[in-house]
Amino acid sequence: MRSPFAYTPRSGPLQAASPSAAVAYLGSLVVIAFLYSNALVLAAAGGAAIVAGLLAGAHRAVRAALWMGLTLALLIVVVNALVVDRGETVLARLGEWPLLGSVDVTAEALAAGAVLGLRAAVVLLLFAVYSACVDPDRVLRALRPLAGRSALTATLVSRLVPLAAADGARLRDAARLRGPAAAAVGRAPLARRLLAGSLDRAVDVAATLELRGYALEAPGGRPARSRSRHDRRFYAVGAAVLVAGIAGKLIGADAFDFYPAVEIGSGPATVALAFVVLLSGFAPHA
Amino acid sequence: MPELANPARLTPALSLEGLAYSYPHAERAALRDVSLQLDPGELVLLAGRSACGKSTLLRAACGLVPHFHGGEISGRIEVAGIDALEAGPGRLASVVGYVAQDPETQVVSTTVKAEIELPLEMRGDPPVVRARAVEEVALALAIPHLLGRTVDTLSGGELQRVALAAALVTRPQLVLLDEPTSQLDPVAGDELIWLLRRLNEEWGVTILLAEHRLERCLAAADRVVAMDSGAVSFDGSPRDFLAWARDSDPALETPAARLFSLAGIEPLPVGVRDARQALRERGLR
Repeated sequence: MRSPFAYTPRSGPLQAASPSAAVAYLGSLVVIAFLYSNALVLAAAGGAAIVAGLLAGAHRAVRAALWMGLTLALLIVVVNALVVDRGETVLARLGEWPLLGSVDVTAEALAAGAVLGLRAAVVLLLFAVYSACVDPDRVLRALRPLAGRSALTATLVSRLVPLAAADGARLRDAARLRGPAAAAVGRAPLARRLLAGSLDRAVDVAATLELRGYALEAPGGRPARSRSRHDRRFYAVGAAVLVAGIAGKLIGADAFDFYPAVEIGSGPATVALAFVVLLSGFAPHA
Repeated sequence: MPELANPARLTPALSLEGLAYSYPHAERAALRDVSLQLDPGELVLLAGRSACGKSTLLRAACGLVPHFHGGEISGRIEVAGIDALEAGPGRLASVVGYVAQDPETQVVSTTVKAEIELPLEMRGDPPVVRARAVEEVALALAIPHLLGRTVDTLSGGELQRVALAAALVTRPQLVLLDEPTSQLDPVAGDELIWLLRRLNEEWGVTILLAEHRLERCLAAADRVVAMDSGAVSFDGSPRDFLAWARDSDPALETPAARLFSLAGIEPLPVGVRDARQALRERGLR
């Protein structure tokens, strides 16, 4: 069974766009996710990623990333609530815990964890859309002038996710074949094996790339299909999101405090920025 | 009038002289004083137990050792007249093709067509030339029907053929194969070996094939080179190899040769045809 994150050729604008245009567009949303802690803006970035993915036809990737992202977010919320005892609103006193000491769960720590989790989920969603919609072959070719001397760098950038996705699908199948009586493999060991295996295989793929002549000096002329008529749209939307994000940061659209009490900024600047960010999700519309 | 010598025919496809190599941080050498020469058009079988240095030798012949893996190397490697220690895998790509054990790790593109086309694109061939070369190699390997497929939908055997096509599409003078049948079923494995023999005869490409299942390849080979602990322990014809293996390294004996040996039948059979002939002569069939 194919991994939901594997690239699938489709005829949408995002798939047709050059890798640099797609990266500029999706990257601008990643920048917003790292730049802002305001839940409204982060939720808008997440919404934009979902809309972009659905419009680009990457339904399976969006579903899988949502599931993984929300699981990760929940984990972050729980861990943050247990290790951070700042905040005025104590929801529960859990007493003395080994290593952690006195554990008080506060509403503020929960909110801070939720924002961190939301950020991780948004980045995961955007990465899933990138992986499912941007052709790694074109990324590899686009990277040649930049990373021609290092096939390994190019392979890690363009192939690590597809390799990890394929390995992940195989490991899941293998786990299913062991049957219900077999001991369950924890997520952490599975992730470690996945990463180690993918890195190993990426090195082998890099060796193959060397043998295919990737490190040779790139021939003159622009490679075919390097540009698309949709590129301008994605560059423009990416730039608009970045400009709005930076301007919003300067005028205080990121108002959001966790401690000592949660204060969510929802002024006009924040709402306007969230609207612009959400609207950017419609860029892949044909 | 004396016949003019063809320099391409005179240059060995592969020439190793006193080659010694150790991987980084390795305690012992992977290759020890290996000297070997492959003439153009030969199909040579590289035999030996696991970890005897077969894969390292192949990796040295295509430039991955030492350029990609690092380590310490001494001696000389020439591939079609090019100094491999100076050139590196990128420059050697035009004269040598390499197919590794695991087909999954030697596929770098999403579609079959893009995968086969990649080496030509990397050296800057125009699209028309690329299209023709891809079609030719796909026909030769009987995979034109796979060209439109994505690589993740292929079986192991199909993937191995695609990897072979990508290695052959530049029409290299030397093709190195590292246990290409290890992940194939017996029928697909046999098909691949005889496909290699056909390409060797029709295209004149020199082939160095490392394999464990010798019974499958001996009949197709012109010559056998055996390795032990990083050094060449035998270099000769397939028939001589069977006699040598019986006396010196029984682990490399083929099942049929062992059976004939136990039954006291000579000569030891290189392939099925040999075995049938020997049995017929003794009225055993």
